[in-house]
Amino acid sequence: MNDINTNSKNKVKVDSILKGFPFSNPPLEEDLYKCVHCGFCLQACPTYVQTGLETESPRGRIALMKGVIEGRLTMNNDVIDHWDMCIQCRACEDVCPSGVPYGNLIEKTMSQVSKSRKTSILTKVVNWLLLRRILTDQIILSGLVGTMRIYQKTGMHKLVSVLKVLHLIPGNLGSLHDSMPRISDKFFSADGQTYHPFGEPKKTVGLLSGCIMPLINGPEMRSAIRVLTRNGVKVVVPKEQGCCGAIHSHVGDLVKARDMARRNIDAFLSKDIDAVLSSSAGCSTRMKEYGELLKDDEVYIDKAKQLEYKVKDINEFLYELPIDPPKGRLESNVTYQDPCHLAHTQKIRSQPRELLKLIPGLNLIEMRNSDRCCGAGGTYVITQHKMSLNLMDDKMKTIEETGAQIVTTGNPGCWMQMNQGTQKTNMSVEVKYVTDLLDASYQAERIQNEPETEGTSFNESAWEEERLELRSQWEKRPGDRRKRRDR
Amino acid sequence: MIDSRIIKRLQAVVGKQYVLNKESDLITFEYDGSVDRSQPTVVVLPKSTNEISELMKIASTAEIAIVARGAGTGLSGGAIAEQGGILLSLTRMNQILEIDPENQIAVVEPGVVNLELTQAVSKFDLYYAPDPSSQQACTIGGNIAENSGGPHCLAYGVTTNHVLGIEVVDADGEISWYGGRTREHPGYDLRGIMIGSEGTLSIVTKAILRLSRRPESVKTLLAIYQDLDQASAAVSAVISSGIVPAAMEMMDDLAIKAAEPAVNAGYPENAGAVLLVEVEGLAELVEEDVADIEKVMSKYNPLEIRTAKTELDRTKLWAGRKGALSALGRLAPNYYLIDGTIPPSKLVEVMSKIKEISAEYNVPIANVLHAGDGNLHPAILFDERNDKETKIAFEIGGIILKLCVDAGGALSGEHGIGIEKRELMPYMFNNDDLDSMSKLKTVFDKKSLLNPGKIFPDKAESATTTFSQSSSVSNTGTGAYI
Amino acid sequence: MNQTIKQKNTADFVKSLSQSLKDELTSPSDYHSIDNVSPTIVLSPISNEHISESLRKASEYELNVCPIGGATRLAIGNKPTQYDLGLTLNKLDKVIDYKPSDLSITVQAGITLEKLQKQLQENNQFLPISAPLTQRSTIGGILAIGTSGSLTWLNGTLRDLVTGMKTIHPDGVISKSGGQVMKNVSGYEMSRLHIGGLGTLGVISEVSLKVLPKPENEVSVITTFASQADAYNASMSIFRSKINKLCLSYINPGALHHLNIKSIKPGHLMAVRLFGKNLSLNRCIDEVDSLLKQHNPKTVSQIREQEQEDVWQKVSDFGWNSDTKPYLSMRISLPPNTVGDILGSLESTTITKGLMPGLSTNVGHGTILFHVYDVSNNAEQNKFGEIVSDVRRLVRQRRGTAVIEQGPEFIKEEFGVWDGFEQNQKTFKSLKSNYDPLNILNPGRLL
Repeated sequence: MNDINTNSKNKVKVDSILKGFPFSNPPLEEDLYKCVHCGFCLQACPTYVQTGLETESPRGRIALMKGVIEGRLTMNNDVIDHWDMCIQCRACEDVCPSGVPYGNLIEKTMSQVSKSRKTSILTKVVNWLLLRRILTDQIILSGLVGTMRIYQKTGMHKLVSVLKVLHLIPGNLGSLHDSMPRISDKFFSADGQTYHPFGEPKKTVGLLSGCIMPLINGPEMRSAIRVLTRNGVKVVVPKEQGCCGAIHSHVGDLVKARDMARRNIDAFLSKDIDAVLSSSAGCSTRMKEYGELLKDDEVYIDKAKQLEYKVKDINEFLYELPIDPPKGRLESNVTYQDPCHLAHTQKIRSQPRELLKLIPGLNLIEMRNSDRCCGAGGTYVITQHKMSLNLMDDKMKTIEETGAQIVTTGNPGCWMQMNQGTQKTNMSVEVKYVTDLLDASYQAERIQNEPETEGTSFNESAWEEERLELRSQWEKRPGDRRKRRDR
Repeated sequence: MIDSRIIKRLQAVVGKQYVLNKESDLITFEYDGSVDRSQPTVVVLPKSTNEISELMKIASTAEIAIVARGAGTGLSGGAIAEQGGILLSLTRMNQILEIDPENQIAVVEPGVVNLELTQAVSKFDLYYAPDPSSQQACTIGGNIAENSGGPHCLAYGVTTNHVLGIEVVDADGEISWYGGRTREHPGYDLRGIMIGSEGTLSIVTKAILRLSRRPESVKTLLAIYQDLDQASAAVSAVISSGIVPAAMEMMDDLAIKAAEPAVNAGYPENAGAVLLVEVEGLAELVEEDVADIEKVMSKYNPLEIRTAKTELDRTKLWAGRKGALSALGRLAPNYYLIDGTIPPSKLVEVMSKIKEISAEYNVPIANVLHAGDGNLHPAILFDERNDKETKIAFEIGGIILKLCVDAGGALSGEHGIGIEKRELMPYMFNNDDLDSMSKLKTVFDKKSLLNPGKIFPDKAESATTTFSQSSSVSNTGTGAYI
Repeated sequence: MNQTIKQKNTADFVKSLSQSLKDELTSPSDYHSIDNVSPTIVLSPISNEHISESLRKASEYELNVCPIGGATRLAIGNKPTQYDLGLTLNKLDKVIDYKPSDLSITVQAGITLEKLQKQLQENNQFLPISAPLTQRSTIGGILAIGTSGSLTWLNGTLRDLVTGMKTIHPDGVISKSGGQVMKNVSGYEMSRLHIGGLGTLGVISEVSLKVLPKPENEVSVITTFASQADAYNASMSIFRSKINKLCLSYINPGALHHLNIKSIKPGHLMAVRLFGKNLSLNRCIDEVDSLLKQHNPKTVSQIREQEQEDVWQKVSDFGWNSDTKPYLSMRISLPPNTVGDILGSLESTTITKGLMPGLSTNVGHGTILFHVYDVSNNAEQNKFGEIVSDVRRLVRQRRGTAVIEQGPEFIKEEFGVWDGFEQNQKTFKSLKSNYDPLNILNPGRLL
């Protein structure tokens, strides 16, 4: 026999020297060993499905964590690459019968990685700028994105694409140019404003405005607010709030993530509200897990739990409210893409679908693997550009199979990713939030001028009033801008 | 160490990126769903039959062991490269090549996931009947290697009953078809002999599978009993009454305790045993059978009998059963899963003996079983970080399996012998039986390169070696039995 | 081998036998002959040890052995190249173990299907196996041939019912595989080599089988049609429906003529055996009724109880009892959807040669029994050869196989009875030489 066979070293031996992760707060051993490597998670994992490689599966990544903990592996780039490839969609957690807290494990592992990563000064600076400065400060962010808007509007964007000067830029950044999201004509901003429903409010909610969403989804956020007020919900948008911190924890910057969490806890708990809503699944997930994030913060842990209890995804909230069934017909075939952070982490699957089914004329067609990640995943689009595109392509294929004219979702990441997908594939599919369609149906009620039926509380003048108030909010904005800068 | 020239040749066949031999890669290919671990020397991921044929020729010339691996969900160590060598990961060969709804067949590559096949053919009102609990991840190739069953094989049979033909590559790299598109094939049933041979005879590279028509109606019943004996007796009574349900599954108190918080199936936590019975077929027959089954089961003093009213209820009742094993992670860090089979008439006797053993050794044993066909799945709970507990768990495993054989049953119903049960083979088969089987191995794999060491007891060790001392489980250090 | 040496060997063989086995010596008769070759001696062992001794000593004295069950279908296979010892298993006809609630029965291989079914019937169970001449056909023989009859379990095959087997090797070693339980992956499933192996690798001595509860009610709907297309299409529509069926056959007018069932008028026959409880059986009957109506049936009737049993037994006996024995018979296996379009071609190739085709089809299973009757008794011999070539060509185009089950010696010799395992010939030979290195078992009949 060849010596390849007589390899008695193949029996796994554990070296007790050099055990473990180098920094404090590593993934917990007892959590890791909950994994009995049954493999149930494999097909839920988008990167495993793409590659067929055990190394790119949740089970494989856990094996690597165990390898490090047991001292059989050092945390070198070979190992880190596989963790980096994780999109953190947490679809695996959803199917894990052993209850392995994978999201927590990978988050802690990434925190170890980010502390140990040897990165160039340039990357460090960019990261610092992006995560510590830009994303945490809505003013800088909107200023920057505003510039991008001009860039897109003036046709520069197209020109640059056509001239193909981008290959001059190293790395993935060049191709990212083409995947730059469409920027809203109108930003949304958290100015401490309040939107009142007609009549006595049934509920009062605080709205998390978020970091990216107000810039790319201004109109969509307004739709969501209209749906809320239309259903008797008073919406307050605290000025003191900030980014939820998800992007920070995604890349392992838990320190900043905790800062952001504390800021939001203060911002929302100081208001007299029944619930804290977000239209972004990623944000509501992060906020629902503030307790875990701040579990070592004696001052904030109780408050974090208090806030967690109030956080709701907007679809979840509207479904439980419940809303008045909209009456305006929307004749179209619609499919629904489950955002990972709704389906897998918050187990919110039926609510958005039930809301859609309320809309007369709308035909909901399920797509295959609707809960498989579309490839967005925060900074994943940048860090794992190729994999992200592969996942997007698959998603676009399954959308096309349904023949739907509209694909709905509940997260800005998915929204951007699928918008980019439609552009890339030239598909004539519109990407919408569930609340967009609800809003459209409510609006169509008026246009269709259906005979009033029993039980509807709709009142034309109230609607008009509401619109006027909304408009006044927007019109105030340009004047406000300078003031905010002075702050 | 590995000869770099061989690595180069492997790379030339499948492409550089599909030959993995970094430590960080190998560590993720050292396990399957079972307790054993061992690292391959190199992992190769072929894309086609021809590539596998080329790889086999290289391996055969250099006399390197080859172990095929599907999704690595197996529970007997079948996909573990125990002696190192090449681990052939077939996950890239995952195409459904043809669906022929008229003949109710599908031609697939071995890496196709069991459940995905069913999903792909559902638009033709068809499905692939064998449904192992890991069907969401396990592959057809692995199913064929282990002749996998599943809850519904009580009525529909195991994998071998649903495979019409296979394309294989033997140890010399020769490609052949066994069986084909027809239901029958003259001569020795080479197809049949390959199925369940645990990758020791040839590598299956394509399969022609028989698809079944979806039943018109499905009803699921859940009967809750105060103790296991009553539930076991009810199982025998149902079958004696002339009804073969599509599935008849049982879970004992400990399994219920684990599954319930994981899936919220609505199993009462104080129950001694639940019996999950599923009837399928023509709507009228299902109604009639359900009524008759209820009548029979009522005779054994159930605490409650429930019928799943909606598809959601049904899925939930099943989720509890299908996820029960893995949910044991909630009770103990490790479990050692036994797969013995007994004649169903011996259920009461064997189950009570298992309870006695559990009490005697003071080791918790959770039971999840395909009760209708007597396939037991006792799961012995332990903590692998405790050497003594580990040793006892394996000792008990051996005792239970011997109990099954004594009752007229078998060592394995659906997981295979693999590494973990091979030392017990002499308890079920005498030397003549085993010799006859080994002769078969030499027909297909003279050099013993295909999944070497599996199924058969190590000749060097005496047949009396106790199970707990089997070579596969000693000297592996902490963390080896997860 | 030289004839005189052979005679001496045979004598020595007999002399060497233990007294108890000597007592089981019988003289050969037509009953034991295969393709007009008769053995020199016949042994009827009464135990596994007897079989073991017979085989061990036959190996020692270089005698060639053909195991015999009910001797109903010895015509299957090529002519044996040498045949010295007939080993009949009729005396091994006991039920070894049977617990109805285990849905499993273990029997000796020499038990007849009739006796076995009777025993099961007492517990309202049955074995979904049908075979010709059940009062003689033995389980061992049925399995060694390995083909399914009209009754199939979930449209599967005979192989699906065997859970365990004990076989005796040419060197006398007794080995078992599998067991009495339905689910079993403990070692190789050796039985697979012997089912359809025509007794060439070992002698089947004990078998464990999966049994089923007998349906509460059964009824068969017998329908005749004016055209083949109508009859076949009707049977396909029934096959595709979800109703409970145990058997589903299409039988052409030629076969129907030979079956000679008095209650059935001439024509194209479609017969389906339905089962269920009260409501479900009624539903099946209604559904069959409405499906039939779409295909212009000539006559429709229902049969039950003994009449039903008799009709299906006749269908199973077809070709193997003296009334229906054909001149040439082929067993064709096809992908089910190609059966419809081949039926006409099979008929026309036979009729144009002045012969009569008898076709019996297990619809949906893809099996056709194709019998050729020489009614005038004076057809030119080369016509039969042409038919065989035509049939094999038609079948190969459809990726099927056509085995000659019965036919005159010259046909068997010229065409070879087997079809479909050319590609696996090398492996077959290697199996044979591994398990029967002296080639004493059924030499030449399979390989």
